[in-house]
Amino acid sequence: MIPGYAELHCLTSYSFLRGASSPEELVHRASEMGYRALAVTDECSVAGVVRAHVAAKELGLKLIVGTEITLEDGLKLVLLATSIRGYETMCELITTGRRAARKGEYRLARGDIPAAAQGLEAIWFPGDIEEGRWLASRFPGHAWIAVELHRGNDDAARIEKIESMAAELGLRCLAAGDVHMHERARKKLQDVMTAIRLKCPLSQAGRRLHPNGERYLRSIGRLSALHPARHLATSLDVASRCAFCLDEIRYEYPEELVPAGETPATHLRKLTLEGLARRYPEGAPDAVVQTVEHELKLIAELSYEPFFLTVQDIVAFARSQEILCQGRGSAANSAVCYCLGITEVDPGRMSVLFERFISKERNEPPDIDVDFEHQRREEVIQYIYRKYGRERAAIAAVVITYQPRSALRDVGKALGLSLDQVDMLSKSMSWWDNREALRQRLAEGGFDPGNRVVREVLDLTQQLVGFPRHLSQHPGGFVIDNRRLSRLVPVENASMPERTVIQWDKDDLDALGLLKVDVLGLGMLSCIRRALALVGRRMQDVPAEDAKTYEMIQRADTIGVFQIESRAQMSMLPRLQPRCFYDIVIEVAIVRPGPIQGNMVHPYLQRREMVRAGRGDQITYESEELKQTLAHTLGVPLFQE
Amino acid sequence: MLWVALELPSLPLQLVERAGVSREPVVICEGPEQRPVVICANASASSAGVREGQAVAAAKALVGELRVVPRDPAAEREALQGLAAWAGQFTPMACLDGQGIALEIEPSLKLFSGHARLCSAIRRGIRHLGFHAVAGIAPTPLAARLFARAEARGLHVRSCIDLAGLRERVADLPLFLLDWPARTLAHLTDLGVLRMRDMLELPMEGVARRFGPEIAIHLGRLMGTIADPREPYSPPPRFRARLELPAEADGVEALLFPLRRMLAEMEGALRGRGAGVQRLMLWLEHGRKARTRVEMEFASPERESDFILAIAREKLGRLTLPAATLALDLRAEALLPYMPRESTWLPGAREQAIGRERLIERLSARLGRDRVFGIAVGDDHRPDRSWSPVQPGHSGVATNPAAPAARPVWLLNRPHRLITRDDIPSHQGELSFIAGPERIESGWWDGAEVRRDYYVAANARGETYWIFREHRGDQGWYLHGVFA
Repeated sequence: MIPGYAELHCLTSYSFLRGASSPEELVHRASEMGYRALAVTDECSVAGVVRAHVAAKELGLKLIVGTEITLEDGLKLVLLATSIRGYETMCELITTGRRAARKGEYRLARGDIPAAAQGLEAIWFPGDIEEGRWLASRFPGHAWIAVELHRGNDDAARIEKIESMAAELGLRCLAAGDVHMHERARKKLQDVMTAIRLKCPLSQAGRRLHPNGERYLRSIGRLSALHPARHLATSLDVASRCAFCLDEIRYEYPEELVPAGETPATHLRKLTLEGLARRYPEGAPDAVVQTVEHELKLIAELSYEPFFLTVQDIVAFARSQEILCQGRGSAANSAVCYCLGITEVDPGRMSVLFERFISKERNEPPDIDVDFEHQRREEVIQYIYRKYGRERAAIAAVVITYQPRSALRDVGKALGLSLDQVDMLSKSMSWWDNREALRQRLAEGGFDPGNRVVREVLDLTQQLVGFPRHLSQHPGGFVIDNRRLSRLVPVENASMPERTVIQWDKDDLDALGLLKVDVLGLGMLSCIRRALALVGRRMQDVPAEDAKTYEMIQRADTIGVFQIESRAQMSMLPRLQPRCFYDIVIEVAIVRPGPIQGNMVHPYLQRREMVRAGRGDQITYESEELKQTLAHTLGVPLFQE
Repeated sequence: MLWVALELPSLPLQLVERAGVSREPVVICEGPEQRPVVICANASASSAGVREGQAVAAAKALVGELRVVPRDPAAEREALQGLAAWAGQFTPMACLDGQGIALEIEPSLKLFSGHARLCSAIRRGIRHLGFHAVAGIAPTPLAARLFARAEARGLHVRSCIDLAGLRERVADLPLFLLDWPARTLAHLTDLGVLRMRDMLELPMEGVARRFGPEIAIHLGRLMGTIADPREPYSPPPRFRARLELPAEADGVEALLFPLRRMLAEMEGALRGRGAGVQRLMLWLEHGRKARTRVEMEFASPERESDFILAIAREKLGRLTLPAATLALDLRAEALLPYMPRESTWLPGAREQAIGRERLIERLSARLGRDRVFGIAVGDDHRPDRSWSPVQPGHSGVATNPAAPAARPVWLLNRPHRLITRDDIPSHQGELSFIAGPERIESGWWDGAEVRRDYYVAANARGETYWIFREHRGDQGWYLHGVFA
């Protein structure tokens, strides 16, 4: 019978410049290999777990969330979350370590490890036996010793030694793999990453590189040849204790936005109706009132009220400080957003399509991006920090990945090329797609394209591209939680002083259904603000659908006009002849890679010409359903929904 | 105070014969070029009837094959300076004095257990340098010089160690031993004043008036009634010695004897300054500007002549000389503080360490410096690169202290292909595995990639080897190292 195995020590590419495979690759390989479970244990980080979680869910592989930590005194351990409680403790611990060090580093001592923490299993990587004794007392009943065998000097002796330690400490041994890559072939890349991390060429990395390529997801057969069956079995015991799943984590909206005696629903309704009265002093059109009711119902069904309240609160602050702000994107399709002052698109004037914004079928959290004057955005950010505190509000991360140029530079350095040579190579980079042209370019630059080093550099650079390099901060995506955010996801220092980011990026947040509020900066708003000040008008005083303005636009007299000032836009304007706001929307949408490459520009312009010539009825549609959807754009699918 | 005066009779001749006594008749000449006069003659020349004061032409008439060497006062002075520097090991107060040197030894008496032992140590040392000297001991330097000259003339004088007995001891000595002007001595002879006794009985005021105050002062200094301060010779901060060989030396062995004398002189000079040398240059001069250079370098400052000579012997033994050697020139340009080697009752690590240093020096002298090296652990997984040769005594740059375990001490220069039967490797019998495999996959970046599984394996005779299975190329088995 083939024994079962669960890998409990595995680093992904989110242990930056250590792990040489993505979480997805690891999960796929572990599933293929028939592993019963895979623990993602990035070093003091959970940045890769959401990706792994999504992939594992798809494949039905059990994913365990954990982290590898090396304490200041050298003690190395892995913590695995067995329950939500343990997960929260782990996030807090990672936050502590990350906040105590510079960006990208962490610092934890024994004192930071909570005693007898619930919901955590601790795996010790044997060093001095005193360490093991300490760990066993810190995690009574939940401490284990890892036996990791990588065809070292004398694996049999190693097993014996660790087992005798285990007997002395009263702990059980489990097999683990110290996995750094999903397949052996990544060894070269892993070596290069190590050299990059150590900031030295490979030739000087010496023994700090791994001696061989055994740190990959090995087949169960291979593992059972190396490890005693009881050690493999113990890995399953531990894995079965880890019942925590990332789907369990629950995000809670901040509560303080709702006054006492109100529910989020009643409060949102109240604010919306107040806004409605303000927007339409002479009474709102029926259609608008209906739309608002429809939207409120949908929001209530999906319990998104606190999200709208949160955005409303931020926008209200900005308004009170006379900071120009503007909701953008699909939120413009919401009458509620208009009433709350988040957007300025009058649902009475435009037909809005709320389902583009929130849809029950898609089950995605709404996305309200709000632009603020770029020079005063910081005031808004500081307001958020002030209102919710640094424990509860943090900016989402952006994973900075290797681009061809940066990858080439680092790989070149690792392989010992001089800076001049790296420069030369990177100049020839635009030819990389074409092998023959590349050979020629390289030869011109004095390289022998057949040279082993050059080949390795090019090959490894292509492998490294796309690998995460470090976490940076999102331009303005805030996550605000009702409790300590660091229980939900670890928070770490950003390079900007006084800024903190969470370890998850936008996609991770979406995958787990966490809401984020985008506080973006927009230079044009600052510009508009100054222009209004110069002419002594307010935003509300700008007349709608001003014919003279459209005339100027048709002449492409649009230098300095947001969105339609580029050369491409200006050359399209005289052909499209915009006459109303919706034409502008189409104008902006049409000069984009999608419609241009999809050859949609000419059909649209032709059909528009037909409409102008009074032959609009000759426009044909494939079906009646399509006509409903595409009538706005004359049967040409310009928008990307 | 107690002084030792060393007199080197016939110093010019000694210099010529220092590197070895020549059998041919040799004389030293001095005087106007038209009529040079013999001032010293060696034993061979003397036996042929050559005498001091003879004209060189007359001497040549007596001896057919006479080698005539003009006197070289500069070389004499250098020799005396070298001697004074060498004597620095016995006393800090060593000065040049006439045709010899004078040493004030009272402060050193305790160290050398009395003047008798000290003097015999000095005499023995001088003999090793290749010089012949006679010594006089007296409370004043002038009296000591007087005794030494008397000794040189074959007069037996008992040394005098306190001023009170000095008058009695000098009483019988003839006045001509003093460096007084010939006119003064002739005058005194005419007066019937021939010995010191007569001289000392004369009233000093009268002597001063009649023969000049310097004569009175000289007497006063000799007798210790007038102070006679001396300036100690302070040698330059380097060592240089040159020695001309008495005859052309063809082989290397013939060089060792004169070299020993030079090294003994250097050792004394170095002792006097508490110094040693780490780098030493020996030039063998072959005439017509042809020279051979022999360089000696030590791990730490050295000065013991026996040791240095042994090193030099090894070095010289490996040389092929282009021509016969005429002279030796020994130079040490930098003198370094010398740490004396302690000797204890029981040899410990320290003594062994010193022994090792000596061994390394001797080995590198014999085999060549580039062939003797230490081994340092290298920072690389590949066994061929996990060690590197370093200068003996250096540990190399320890970049990573965690060195791998179970590595054989002796690694083959090139792995040796093993024969296999049924894929089981054998070497002096079938091999069985003791440990392994240890997989090493590294070095793909520099063209010397290694992908191997290493095993510790032993044959029936218990010989333990480090073998590997190649994963690139031929997939074969190789022997890479031997465990002790």
